Amino acid sequence: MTGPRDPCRALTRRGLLGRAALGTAAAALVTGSDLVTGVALGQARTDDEILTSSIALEQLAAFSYEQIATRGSLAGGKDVAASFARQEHEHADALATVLAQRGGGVPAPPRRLKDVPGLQRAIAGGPRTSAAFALEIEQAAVTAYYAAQGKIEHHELLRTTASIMASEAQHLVVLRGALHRDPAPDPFVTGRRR
Amino acid sequence: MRLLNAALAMEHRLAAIYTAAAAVPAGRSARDTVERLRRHEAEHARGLEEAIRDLGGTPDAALPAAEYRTLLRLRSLTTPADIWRLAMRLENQTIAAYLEALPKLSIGQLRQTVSAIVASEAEHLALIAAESDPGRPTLLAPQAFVTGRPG
Repeated sequence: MTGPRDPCRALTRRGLLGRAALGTAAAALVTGSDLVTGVALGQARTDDEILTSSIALEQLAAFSYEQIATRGSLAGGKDVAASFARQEHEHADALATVLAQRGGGVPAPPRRLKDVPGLQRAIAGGPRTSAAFALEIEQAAVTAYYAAQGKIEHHELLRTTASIMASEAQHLVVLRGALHRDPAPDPFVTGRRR
Repeated sequence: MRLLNAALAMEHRLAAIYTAAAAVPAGRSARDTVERLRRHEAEHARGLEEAIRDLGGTPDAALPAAEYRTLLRLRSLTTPADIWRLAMRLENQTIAAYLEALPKLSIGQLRQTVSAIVASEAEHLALIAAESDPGRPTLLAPQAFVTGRPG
């Protein structure tokens, strides 16, 4: 069980963000598979650990979209970043409710731009760079939820995370379209990068 | 096994719609989308057939095309708008059925496969929304939770 001041939470956050900073491609500022599969959810085994990692990722996504919406812009449409920020918040809130019911502590969300490595650069890079950054986060989320489906035991949590994963997949369609990429390249959406 | 064959039947049904839709006169973008969706549904069906065989079962065959034409009134599809309306309804039904079935699958890998298909059907909803109402990207992802049921 983790609480806001629990070092496990800090390690999770540090792991998430630290590995995120290792992205090598200039445009791909966050490495999706490293961000989640290789770190937080790769290590998550129990429903509570999966919930904590998922909430951290949703918080990171919500904060990133908020910052893009207020400080920059996102290729794909004026209202897209704000709309996606709202949806990521809804995901985080729903997962946090489940975690709280199980007695778990919700991780602290990012508060400053520098809490999300690469975000400032993505915003400064303009709408397309921001969209590429968001795409990496969404891809990471889908990868994470896909991995989690094999481990989750709580029935309703399975449904909730699958419906969130489907929501992130729709975000991917919008972002890929904005970047003039194939909007839905795979019949099985696993977060695998193309 | 019954669950997987029920899922397979849904995929056959969606593939039948998109196969019939290919004959409806439409622009390039709509035709490309229909072909993509048909291909994806066929891949989902193949994946489920494989899973059923791996578990020692026998996958149910698709119905003859004529039966789908009658059951789904596919002859009434005459415009792209007709396709999108029917497709939107049945894709949503399929998502709802998968989510209902998900916790009943005891094998983790199967749950992963079903979730990957649910996410694919959700992408289809976005593509259909883009064809139905182009230029409004927020409509492609209208709800935070894709459940297959009205929000």
